Amino acid sequence: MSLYAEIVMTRPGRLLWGGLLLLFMISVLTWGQAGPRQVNPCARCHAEGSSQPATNMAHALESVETASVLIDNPLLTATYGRFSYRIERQGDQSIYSVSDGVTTETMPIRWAMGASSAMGQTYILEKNGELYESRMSWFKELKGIGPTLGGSNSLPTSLHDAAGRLMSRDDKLRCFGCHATNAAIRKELTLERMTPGVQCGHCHEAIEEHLTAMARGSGKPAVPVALSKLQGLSAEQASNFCGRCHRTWAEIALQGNPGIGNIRFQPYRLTGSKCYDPDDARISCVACHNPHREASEQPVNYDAKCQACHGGGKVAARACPVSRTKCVTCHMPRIELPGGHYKFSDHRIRIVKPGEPYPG
Amino acid sequence: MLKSLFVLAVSVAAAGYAQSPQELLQDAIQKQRSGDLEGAATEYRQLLKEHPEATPIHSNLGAALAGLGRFEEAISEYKIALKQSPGLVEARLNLALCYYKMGRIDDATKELERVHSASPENRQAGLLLGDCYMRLGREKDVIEILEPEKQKYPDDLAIAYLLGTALIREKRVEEGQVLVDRILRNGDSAEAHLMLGTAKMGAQDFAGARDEFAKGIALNPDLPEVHVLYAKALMLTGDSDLSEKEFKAELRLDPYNFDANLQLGAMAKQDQNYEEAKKYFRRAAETRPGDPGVRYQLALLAVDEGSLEPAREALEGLVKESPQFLEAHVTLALVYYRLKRPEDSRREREIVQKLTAEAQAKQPGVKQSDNKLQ
Repeated sequence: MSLYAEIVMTRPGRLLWGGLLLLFMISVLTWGQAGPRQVNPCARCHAEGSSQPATNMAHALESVETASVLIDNPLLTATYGRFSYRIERQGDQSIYSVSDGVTTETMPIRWAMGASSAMGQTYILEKNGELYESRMSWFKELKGIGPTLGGSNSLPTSLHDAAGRLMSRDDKLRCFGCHATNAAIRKELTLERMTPGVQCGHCHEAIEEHLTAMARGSGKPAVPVALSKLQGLSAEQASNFCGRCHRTWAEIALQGNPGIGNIRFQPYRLTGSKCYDPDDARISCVACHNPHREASEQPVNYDAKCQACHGGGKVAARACPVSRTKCVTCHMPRIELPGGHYKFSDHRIRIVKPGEPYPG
Repeated sequence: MLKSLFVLAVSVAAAGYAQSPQELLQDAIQKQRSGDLEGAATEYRQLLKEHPEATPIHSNLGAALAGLGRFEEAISEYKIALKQSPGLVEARLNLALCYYKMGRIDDATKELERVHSASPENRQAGLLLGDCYMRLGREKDVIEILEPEKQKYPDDLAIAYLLGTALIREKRVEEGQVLVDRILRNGDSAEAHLMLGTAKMGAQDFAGARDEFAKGIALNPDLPEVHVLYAKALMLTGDSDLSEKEFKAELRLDPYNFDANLQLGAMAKQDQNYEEAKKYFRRAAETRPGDPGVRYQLALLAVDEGSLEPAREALEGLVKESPQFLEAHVTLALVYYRLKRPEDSRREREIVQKLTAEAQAKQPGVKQSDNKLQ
């Protein structure tokens, strides 16, 4: 049960806890809702808690009130087929509308999926109590809006279809489950309790008990099992853990679509690398990416990771005859995802041959 | 069932059983009637120890076992009964029903053809045979078997549905349409919604199908298979929660429904409720022993529980039997990785890629290797 739930349920006994605990709980509850300027309670003891709130993952979901793309671009327009689109700022809200020249469908934006600072974001609209995924998304490269990835394969046939796609219950569980924290408890959608973005508690599942124990000042930091388990993950376990949102090899393989669209799914791609070894932590997701910091875009920053094996650290890993620096520029080429307006680093590490087909 | 019990009672009485077996038999029949199928089966088996020649007892035992979902055992009993008395139509029909419930449509068809030939007036056999032909894609045979039935039972919506569908599939659209219209004109019937929902599922209009099935359930919640169809449509439209409830609703009507047990097992496994999952899978496996889908789910369960060697063995068996079974290859690749057999894993992964590429190439309008790297 989340801390938030305990307060909402207003059990008098619980509210009689010491002042320190109450203050601590309030800071936990408010942090994440109002952006990175708030103090992350985890940061009091863990340095990672200071850097993580600045990452794109921490902003994987933004409320309409805080989405800086919408604030900085008070009017966004585009046409697609016979439909014209507008996203207009009104106070701290944004209104999404689509028109076929005769009729206009208008829906308020509730959330932006994807950080304002990342490659793009798709909007979650609300109408008559239902949520819709917007047909138009914002792309950093375009500095404007264009067809949402996946929705660009076919032109909309009706005004309703042009506005967006109705989100089913399972869609909501999947989308909010990855882009927010505490959006679902088991199979129950709990949007009213969620904190936007990937916060500490998204990966460290038993964080609340730990925080409560710390707030009680018992002197003994009760680290729950689920919290400590992450430290010892093997490459495969890390792939599966991160792959819960970034997609595992098995998930994509079962979909049976080896096309270029899977370039986005890094754990899937990584598993296809010749150097992938499920037991070798040097090839796990977290060997190269510290989830508490934004991923570096400087190729040189990854050289040490490659050299950990190819610099003599692993018998089977030969040294590159061409270079020992900027390895990723050749072996993990950046590939444009059609319709994605972004070049993804291909995590299928390999000797790339010009003109070869995309290895699915 | 009642008829077979009556036949049994008469034949046993005629056989001149002593008091004790007679009492035992009456007790078994009573138990079977009151739903204590396990108790009835035990007593029938006791009786058969001393009277293995008693054909009706084999038949009754078959019915009790079928009611318990132990179809393989039931089939054995029906076969003994039919060997002793080949003309026992009721036992043959029950045998066909066992095959039908196990998804062994070919075997069910063979038995039903014999029943229909021996008793053409048996409406249930004719209808079931038509359904089997439909499942086997033998529309011409559906028409041949059900056209006379339609004359005899013009108001039977099930016959109209099967025959109408077969006629439309055979391009005899106008004739088929007449029957379909008859169902639709027959007021707002559950059968009509079931038919429309099935057609919409076929056209991949899952939301439309879901709405039709919901209407069908509102009119007749006891219509066979309607909850399973609704549950499948719900899954495809992204409401797995309600879907689970509907699969469970089907099991309340038919505890041995294969699809419902298989899907609920997969759902329970996903929720890491392994004991519950095993319960459903066991029941699905009882209904269709050896079914590759159930064996695959059981292998997945073993993987989740960390029993990698049994999982590997099961998966290797599956891919040997069905080399095109993509999911089994995917899981086997993962299992090999975990068993620290990277070369075997790579081989499986290559098979997965090959199968996927082959499947894609068969799709209309797909260009080969159009993603060239610069």
